[in-house]
Amino acid sequence: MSPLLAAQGLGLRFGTVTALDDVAVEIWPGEVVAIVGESGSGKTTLLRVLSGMMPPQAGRVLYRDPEGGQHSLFDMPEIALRRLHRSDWGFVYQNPRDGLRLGISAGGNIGERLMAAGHRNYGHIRAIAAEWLARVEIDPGRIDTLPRNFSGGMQQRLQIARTLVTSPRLVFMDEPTGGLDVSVQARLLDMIRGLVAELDLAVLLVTHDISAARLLAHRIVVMQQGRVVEAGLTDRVLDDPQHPYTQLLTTSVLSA
Amino acid sequence: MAYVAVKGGERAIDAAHGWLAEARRGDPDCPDLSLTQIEQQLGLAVDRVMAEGSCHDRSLAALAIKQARGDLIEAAYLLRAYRTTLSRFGASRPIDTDAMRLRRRISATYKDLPGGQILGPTFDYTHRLLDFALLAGTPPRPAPQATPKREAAPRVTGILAAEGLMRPETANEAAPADLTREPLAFPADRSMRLQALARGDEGFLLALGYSTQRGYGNAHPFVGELRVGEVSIELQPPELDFPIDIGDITVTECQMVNQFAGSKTEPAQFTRGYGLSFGHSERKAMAMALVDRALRARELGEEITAPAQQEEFVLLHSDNVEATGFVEHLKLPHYVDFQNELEKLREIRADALRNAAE
Amino acid sequence: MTTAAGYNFGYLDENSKRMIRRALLKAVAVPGYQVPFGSREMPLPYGWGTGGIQVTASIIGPDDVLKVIDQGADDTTNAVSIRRFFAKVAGVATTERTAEASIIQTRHRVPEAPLREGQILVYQVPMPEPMFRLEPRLAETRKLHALADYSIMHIKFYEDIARTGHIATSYNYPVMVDDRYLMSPSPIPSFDNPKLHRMPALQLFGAGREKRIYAVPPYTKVRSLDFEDHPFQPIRADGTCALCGSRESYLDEIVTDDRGGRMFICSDTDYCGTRAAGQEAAE
Repeated sequence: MSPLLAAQGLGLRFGTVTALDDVAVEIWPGEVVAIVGESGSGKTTLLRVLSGMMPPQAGRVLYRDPEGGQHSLFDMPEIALRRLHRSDWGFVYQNPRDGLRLGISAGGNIGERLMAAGHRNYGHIRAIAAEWLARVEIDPGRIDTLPRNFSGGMQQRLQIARTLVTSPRLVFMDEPTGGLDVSVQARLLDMIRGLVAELDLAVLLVTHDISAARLLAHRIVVMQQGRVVEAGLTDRVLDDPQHPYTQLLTTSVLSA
Repeated sequence: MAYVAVKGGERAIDAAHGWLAEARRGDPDCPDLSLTQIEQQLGLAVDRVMAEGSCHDRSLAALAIKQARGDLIEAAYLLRAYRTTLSRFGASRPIDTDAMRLRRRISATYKDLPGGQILGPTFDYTHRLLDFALLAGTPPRPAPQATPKREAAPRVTGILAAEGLMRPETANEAAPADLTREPLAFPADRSMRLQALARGDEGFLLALGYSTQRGYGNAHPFVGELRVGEVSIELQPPELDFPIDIGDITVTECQMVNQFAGSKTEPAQFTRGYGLSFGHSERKAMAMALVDRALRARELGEEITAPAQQEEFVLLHSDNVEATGFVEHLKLPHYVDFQNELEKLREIRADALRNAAE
Repeated sequence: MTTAAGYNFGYLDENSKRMIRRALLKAVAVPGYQVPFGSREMPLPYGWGTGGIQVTASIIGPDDVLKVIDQGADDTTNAVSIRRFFAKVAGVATTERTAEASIIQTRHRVPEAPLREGQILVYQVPMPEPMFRLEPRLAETRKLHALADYSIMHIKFYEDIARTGHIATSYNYPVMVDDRYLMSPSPIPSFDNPKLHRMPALQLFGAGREKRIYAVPPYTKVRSLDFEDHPFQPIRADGTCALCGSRESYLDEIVTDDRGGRMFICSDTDYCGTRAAGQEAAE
């Protein structure tokens, strides 16, 4: 049994700036891996490379399909990658507006992946959409509302519903609570934790928020200036940090 | 030999003008083009120059075309500049296109309707094959004649409105702001938008209208009605208490009927796009109607996704006199600014090369 | 048979015809798939049927009998113009009888009379891409077709039903061809969509301005997009033809006065005339 996704020796530079330097990451079915670091650490770049959005200059990313076949992500044709994003994978953007169709109703947004997967019964699609709205704590009565009339927190929850409705095996999340009020963040994290456990999803989560990582992730990868400085089980890394940078990160959380 | 600063700019300009006049005249052995010839036989060019010059005068427009050597934007500019010199002594009453003496009237929405489909003098069904017989200058065979039926030709939009299918226009009794006197302010109301479109560049509006048909902006249009014909201009001077008829002009009017908007609370209806132009200018009136409809996106609550729906983009770039002025001004000397750029670029590059060497 | 002096048979040069026929063959081999082709400037303007004209010009032969209709009628101005064009540049026999034609070029209607094997129906198409209103970028819709990802169309139908209880598309109603490609049937009324399904005649679609050709071979499955619980419903005015009495054919609405008076007549003039003549003969 191989990991769902495995990356080795990833390297990427933007001009003179090193974004990734010999980075290796793995993710297994049903586990949540958090990639943490401050801004400029390379974590967002890493997420883009792992999800196939940006090719690395060195190294490779291997993906295992539901039948067990191994594929090198950047040797796949673009069509196959798009198909992957529509079916086996999901991507939750930091800004929900990037992951939603703002001119389409909430119900239509959730229904999209269902319709792409072949659902052809309007009533049934609508029922599933209403059910998911309730699951992400949005009043199902707003199923016909356009997301541009939702608060930021509601938009984010709608994006999550829209992405998870077809139970993708692997979900990439880019700072899912970024830009939201602190009070809203906590509820959102709780909701994500519940859904991930219920649907047995694998999640690759990028965040600068150590407490979010502690709440959600089984394993944690700490990045600094494009390098992985420490990785391991979340509790172990956060309770007994070995690398000075990790120590710095964890103490700043405690003092906050 | 030491460099001597260039002088003699005025002499150079005079010489350029002299050469321009000769170029304008062309071969002196061929007959000079008369204004009547231009006005009569290049009538559609005259119409376009009047529309974009924002001034109805056929012989002035013909003169502008001659002076501009056939460059129609240059001609529109000449007419606009002349317009600025004219004093305004009143405003006419709105023209009544209901009462138009129809030369051409078609509707794409009905096969037949009261008033009929009158084809008029149109290129539409010609085959675009160069006609070398025109070289010989033979007069055309007389076209078949008929007595016009004095049958009422009610508006197609009126027929639809009678069934409640046309979204009604909001009546506005206030005197419209005058685009030629005040600058555009945003958001612009419909009256200002229509004024700007009426004098806008035909090519620009054509492209924008075309883009809405191809999916950039979303209302599928039908030509509800296209009318070309003569309307009377009436003026009521303050000294009199009745209007007087001061003359006729030809105008082209297009009303586009568009895909129905509608929501859970509002029933679906057709929506309108309107175009009006001096002379016989169908392409302009139709393009104007398409763009008018696209710009109504905001008031109809539609998502604004396409260039043709963006009010500032459309209205600020539609005036070809302004546009050509600014584009062509780049030919003026800019060497002082450019010198500045040169020095700045040299400085930045020197720094970068120095850093790379370290 | 004589053609206008100086023009090749069918107006186009032989190489152009060959190029178009190759495109047609590709199109027939992949039903519903839009094949790009090097559209030529024609003496009729873009938007007025140049695609249909180029397809007809490439397949027409001296023994063909040509019918041209626009909105279902043979005597509309554009149909007349195109028919005259082919009479001039190909000298072929022309007809108004659907049953007697070997090639029928049409704008916005499918003839009421069922077509036979051996006949060819050439459609004039303004916008070949069925999703163009939802996604105008051609590079993007190419990918969607490659992925068979037509969810944006389904989403649009979902939104229509959520907003008004109905799918709002009436003409140019998209169809799935051979269970693979989403296709625009051209702006025919949705009433005509069922006629495309397993039609014995060959259906060719030409878009001159957009420079694409596509085809539906005889007896191909063509299904209008819908939801199971909101099935496709063809729309027709609820009326009777004032000339021939038909209650089945697609009707044109004629406004007779400005007080709301109206009547209906068959849009398909040949169908109507044949019916009316049959009734007279019976009397």
